[in-house]
Amino acid sequence: MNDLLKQLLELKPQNEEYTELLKWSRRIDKQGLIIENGPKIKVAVCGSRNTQFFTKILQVFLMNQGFQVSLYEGEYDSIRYEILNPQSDLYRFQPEILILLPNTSDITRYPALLDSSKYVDDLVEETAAYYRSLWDTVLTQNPCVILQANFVLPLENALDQLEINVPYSKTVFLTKLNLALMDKPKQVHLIDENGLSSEIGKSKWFDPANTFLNKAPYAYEYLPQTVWIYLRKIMSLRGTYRKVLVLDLDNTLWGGVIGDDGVEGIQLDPNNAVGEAYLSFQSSILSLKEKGVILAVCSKNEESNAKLGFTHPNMRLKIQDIACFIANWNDKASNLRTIAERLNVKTDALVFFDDNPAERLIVKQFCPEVEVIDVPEDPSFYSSALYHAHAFDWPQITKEDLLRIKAVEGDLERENLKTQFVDYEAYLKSLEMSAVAGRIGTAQIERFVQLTNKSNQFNLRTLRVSEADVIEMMKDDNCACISVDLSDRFSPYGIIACTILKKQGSNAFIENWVMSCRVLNRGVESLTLDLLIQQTKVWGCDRLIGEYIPSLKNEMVSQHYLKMGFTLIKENTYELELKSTQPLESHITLKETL
Amino acid sequence: MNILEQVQEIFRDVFDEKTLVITETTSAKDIEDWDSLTHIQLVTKIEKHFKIRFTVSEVTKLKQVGDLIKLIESKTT
Repeated sequence: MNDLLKQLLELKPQNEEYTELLKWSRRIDKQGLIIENGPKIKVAVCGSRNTQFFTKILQVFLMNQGFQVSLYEGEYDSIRYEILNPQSDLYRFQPEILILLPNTSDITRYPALLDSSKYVDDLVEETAAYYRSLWDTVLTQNPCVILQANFVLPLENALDQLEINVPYSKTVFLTKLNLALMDKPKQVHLIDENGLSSEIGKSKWFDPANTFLNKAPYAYEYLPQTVWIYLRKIMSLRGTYRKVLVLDLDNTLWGGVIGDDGVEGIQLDPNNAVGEAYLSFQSSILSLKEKGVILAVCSKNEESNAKLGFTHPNMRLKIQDIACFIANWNDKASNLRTIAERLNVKTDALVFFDDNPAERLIVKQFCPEVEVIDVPEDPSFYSSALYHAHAFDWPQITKEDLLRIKAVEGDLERENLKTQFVDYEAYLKSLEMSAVAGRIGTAQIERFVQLTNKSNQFNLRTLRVSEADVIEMMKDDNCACISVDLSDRFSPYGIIACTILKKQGSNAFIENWVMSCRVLNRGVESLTLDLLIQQTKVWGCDRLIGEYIPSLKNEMVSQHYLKMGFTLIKENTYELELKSTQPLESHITLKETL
Repeated sequence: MNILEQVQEIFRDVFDEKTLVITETTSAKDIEDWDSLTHIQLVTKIEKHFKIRFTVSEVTKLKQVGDLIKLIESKTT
């Protein structure tokens, strides 16, 4: 590979200065750099502010992630024109992601002084409706995902302290407008630039000179951080995001060393500033767990000592909160691999938090795909270090994320149950599994997209879809998006299998088939196939065609179709004649069809 | 390093050309990539390096390297 390209892939663009990234953008253009076998991505940027640097830097970020990028940048102040003109270059380009960057200067009508609250609300609604109509137009003309910046509340306001005391101020109006935009189609995602400007500090963020010189309302210095939010959103929508937080114990969850200081000796005293800092960090971790982040422990300790720490009465994290607990004297890089294996995720799903810089260095070196948090010396700053790394910036929270936590906890009970049975079939029966399955409705779209995009191992064709794609497929009579929602006596799992079936003449082609590895060998495979067969019959087709496209991660399912009774017809392509199929049996009761 | 040499380093960095040589009379027409976009980057880098800030009017009047040197001198002494 070209040296320059290699350097580009190793770059951490969010830590670079904007001028450095622009240099990279010029190198890319001049040398014609392209990642030939990378996944393709088509992104358009339209704004009512200067978008040139934004777009160039976005290109660097996307290439850094290994994408084969094609970008379209609308003219300055072109949002309305590009969207309302059906012949516009934007539509000719057919983006899969459209980034809209409006500016507070777009808002020409603000409430007048002394206007009533009711009038202000009406005006908010009218303004929000304008943006909604733009989104609708885009989604009809060119189904895609839209990322739109919210409005950054200005720092200087004529009414000063009155701004938050009267209904007609700009501050109140813009705050309400940002909230009103939340009423949006699923394909639209708001990007919190206002939040970013606060994180950076608005007096640094706004740059009046840049506004007048370059029509860019904020200091270019913060472009890398700004573009990084958009990148994170794009990546997470494509299913690339982290799921597990791996924690050290001594001087990370509590002050002191459990092996030396004992339970009484470790610092967790709520009446001591240091103890309070550790406790507060534990609360932050719990709030991540609540949204579905899986917790693991990786500690250099005797296991019995390590667990002793959790018996401290002040501990907010309980031993049951930890889905995978590893305490030994092995190096942490190999322990992280073990954790990933046990939790059935790839190591690139891990985030590592350890106060010891030497351990962090080892992990960075031997597992570069793991996100290693730069932990500050002072435990008071642990929570902010964890949050500012934005390691768990998920595109959505689905019911399944929350259920996963319960299911991981239920795993232990399930394992115990398994040992009581010699016969696997009897074990499956004892799990008392039931499912709700069939063609998906609106309520299932979000999870359908999430599971399809994040499954790597049990994924037959590694097809990635957007919400827009799924909505289009649901409208198509020759296409069926099917999902399975599973429960057993220990926990509900939510949707754990998704397939897309397409009618092609007298064949039904399995466009994709993904399943969560958590429910492997429970009979979900047969149940899913049964649903596919039924749909094929509904269409009056004679056979099912399945294809396996090998990827770096899906070796697990290379023999899937053979196992399911299909016959090989050409390399990686299999067929199942419907007339020769027997009804499939599984231990899952179909409770309801969607 | 005198101011010209320091500015030259910044030019070399921004234009990604290690051997670039500038003089007081160098202007945008002498350097192919010196356009409105690289101009902004030069200004950012110079402001940061010399810990100074140009006014909007100064930025718009900068035409050649000599102007830049004079401005930096007036702001740093």
